[in-house]
Amino acid sequence: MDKYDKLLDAIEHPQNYSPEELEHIASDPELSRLYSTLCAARSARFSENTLSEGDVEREWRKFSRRNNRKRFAGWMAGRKIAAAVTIVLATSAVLAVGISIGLDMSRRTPSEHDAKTEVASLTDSAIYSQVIDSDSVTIVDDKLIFEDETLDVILNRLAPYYGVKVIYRSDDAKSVRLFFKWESSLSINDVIEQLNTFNRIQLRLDGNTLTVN
Amino acid sequence: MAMNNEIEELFKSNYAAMHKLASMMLHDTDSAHDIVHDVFTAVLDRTDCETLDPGYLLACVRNRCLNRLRALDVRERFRELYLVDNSEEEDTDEWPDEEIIAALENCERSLPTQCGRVFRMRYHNGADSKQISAELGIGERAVFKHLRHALDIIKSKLNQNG
Repeated sequence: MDKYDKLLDAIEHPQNYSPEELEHIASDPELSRLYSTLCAARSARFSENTLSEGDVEREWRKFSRRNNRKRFAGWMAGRKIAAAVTIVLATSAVLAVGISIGLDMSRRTPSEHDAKTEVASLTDSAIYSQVIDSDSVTIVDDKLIFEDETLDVILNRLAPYYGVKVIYRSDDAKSVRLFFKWESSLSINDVIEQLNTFNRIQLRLDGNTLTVN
Repeated sequence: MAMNNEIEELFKSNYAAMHKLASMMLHDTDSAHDIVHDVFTAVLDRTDCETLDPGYLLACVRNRCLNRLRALDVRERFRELYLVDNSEEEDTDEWPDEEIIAALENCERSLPTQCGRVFRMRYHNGADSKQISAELGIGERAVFKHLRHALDIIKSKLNQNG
């Protein structure tokens, strides 16, 4: 078996070679050139097809939908300065209300038309996320993104982290639906402050008991 | 952050070329879509106003693909016929360049019929010896001999042209 046979055999059965042997083969200038030529043959197969305009259009729609969702998460992240919080409420009826307070307006100045589009696309992305996630809570490192979740679900998830017990004085508040981005760096008081910016719910902490009115 | 219509324009006019480059490097059209989407997502997060020309976008695609390939073990790269990049000395800026593909096409024209068929099935389409042997009704040993013959022809052609 000469070195050319060895190159071909290594491509057919790389598992029979140690990584060092393969590196050695690839470091031979002549073999390396031949190997690159074979790579090019494999690549050439993919140079034949160009995506159609329709394919690109489809990818664009996918991209802009994801981007709207991402931008929304970005809004939530913008809450750092005092009460820069955005909470979108969607009641069980098809009513969706967007509130944005202290939002960094330089980021974006939405027209009324834009705002409507935003709400519609958020609904889209919520459905989308239910398809790909087992539930609508996405875990990203030390962050949680709740998409159109009830306050009940959100607090059940967060309470153990802060070691608090949740008591509801109002069943109504339990089923309020929110978009909320949580980070592990937030204190319980930060969370309460942010949730309280939404006037349909009122949270109060007494010792280890979180009361929701 | 770039304006929305600007992004749409960039996306629509460059997506196909970017996707082609990524597919050629990764030999997989699905991963190629992921790469191109990642590049545009990164573009959205940019706050500077540097020019976003097609060259820049293609370079981003290339770098992301190379990073993905570098993360693979050398056996994996041999199996998938990915570029084995010996970083410093090799210039991957142009890979996969038109020149090597043109040279290859030229070589392939000189291959005998059955030999060329085996070569294309194996390297273009990525079929394995077993599949080729079954499809053409020849032994796996014969498949290997055809590949070796093709390699010899390519080798001499490449040497002729320096």
